[in-house]
Amino acid sequence: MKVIQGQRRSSTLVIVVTLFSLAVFPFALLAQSQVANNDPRMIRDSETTPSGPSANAILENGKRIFLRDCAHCHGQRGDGVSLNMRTLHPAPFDLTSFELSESYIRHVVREGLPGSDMPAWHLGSEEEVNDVSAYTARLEKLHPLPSQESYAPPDVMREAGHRIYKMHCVTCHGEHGEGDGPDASKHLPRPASFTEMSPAFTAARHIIQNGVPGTDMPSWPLLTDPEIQAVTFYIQTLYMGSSAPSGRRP
Amino acid sequence: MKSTNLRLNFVILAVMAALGASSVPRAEAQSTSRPPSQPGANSNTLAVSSQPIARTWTPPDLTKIPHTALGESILLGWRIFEETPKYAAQYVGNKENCGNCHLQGATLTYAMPLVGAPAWFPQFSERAKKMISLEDRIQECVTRSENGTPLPHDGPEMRALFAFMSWLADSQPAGKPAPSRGLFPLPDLKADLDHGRKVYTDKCSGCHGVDGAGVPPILPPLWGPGAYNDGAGMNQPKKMASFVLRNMPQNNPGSLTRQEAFDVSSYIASKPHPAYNHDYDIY
Repeated sequence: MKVIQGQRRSSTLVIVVTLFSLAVFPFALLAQSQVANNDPRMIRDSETTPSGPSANAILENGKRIFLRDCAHCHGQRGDGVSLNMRTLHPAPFDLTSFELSESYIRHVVREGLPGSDMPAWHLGSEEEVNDVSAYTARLEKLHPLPSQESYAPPDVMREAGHRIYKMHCVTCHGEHGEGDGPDASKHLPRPASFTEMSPAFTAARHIIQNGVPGTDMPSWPLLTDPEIQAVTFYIQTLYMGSSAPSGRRP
Repeated sequence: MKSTNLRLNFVILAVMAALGASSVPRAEAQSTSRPPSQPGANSNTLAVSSQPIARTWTPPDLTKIPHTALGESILLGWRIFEETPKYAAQYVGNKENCGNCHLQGATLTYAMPLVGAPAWFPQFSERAKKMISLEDRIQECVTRSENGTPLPHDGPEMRALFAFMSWLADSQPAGKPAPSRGLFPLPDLKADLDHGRKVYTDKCSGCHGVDGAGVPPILPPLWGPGAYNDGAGMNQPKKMASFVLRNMPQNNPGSLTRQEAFDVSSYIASKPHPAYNHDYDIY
């Protein structure tokens, strides 16, 4: 009898906690994914196969896996702020400061990132890797540059950025930004491929001015603020991720 | 029973996620948003001698400009400095910024830093052969390097530039080293224009372009209508060579020899520049 009572009490508790969390959870989610909700990063229903799971189910599952397997280093928001951040070198990647293509995320999750602490993640099923990649690619990204903060119109920025890129970045990051410059093979982790990742302006500025400790990316204090903005502008045009197939399970 | 456990686990995870999502602090990508430290906060204790003494000069922090009328003026000065054709539009006749030559916000040694410049004047000018004020010196820059017309002596632009230059020195503790003035001294050399063209094509044209027009306002023009005029200091090969030797090419400064720097500067000076208006010789 006591056992039954205990069971009943615990199930009541479960119901109460469930109701509470159901009431709170959507608000937390809403705040986090407001940007994602009304922009092209959201998986469109047409992208999922009719017989397959809905887009929301993929993202829900991806979020669950992210919080279970990734958040202890990359942080619950994915911004690299976590309990483990100080123990890793280079520090965990800030997934919210970069646009990342899903195919690249899948690749890194499966193969790891040699030279860093990111392990090859062989434990999950194919489906889990795809879902968590879909979710990671849609993490809230930092805001774009307001137009009044831009030093010049876009075409000027692109041209200046291209010249700066050719002079300062090309030996490692490569002519087309694929991370395959003539000096790329000297470095581990390999230089970033800008066709797979596109930095936000704040992140690019921070990285150019401070370098990335634990990698061979040096601080590059030679560039002025307008030049950093221009080269970031150009680097963002190299990104091909949006054209990569996304949100679909094979 | 097992399913209850699973459910409980999921619920706990969900609650943690909900709480975590709202409580984890956002990483500040820019360290500049940290609150300013207050070195004077403990000055009533015996900490005076234990305070760290600045041994090297540190560039001032733009985020520490006070939110006052003076602060507004300092900020305007900084904007004029970095985007001259935009913020001093009616007085500028080309596409050069002050910061194109006075590098890193006028704080870099051997790139004509202006830290505390108001305290250097009046001084004797070799060019004018008389004592000049800082206003006069700024007019020389505006009428020559900026190919423009003089700023009003008591206008907001002039006051802003004074405020900015003073502030560059204000934020430093007294007695510390500041960036040394002027440019790196060079001996007299003989120019080889052909060699200069080769150096220019190899090392400079990537950013400044084979046409020397740059991409203003990001990359400065070196000749043509957007550039400084033929009265500017940069149009003197020896002066420009001193600048180039220490600061260019920007992706590998210091990689040119003195001769290369002088040759390329002579080559650039041999290209067409706007004409200086000698009416402004009064400054």
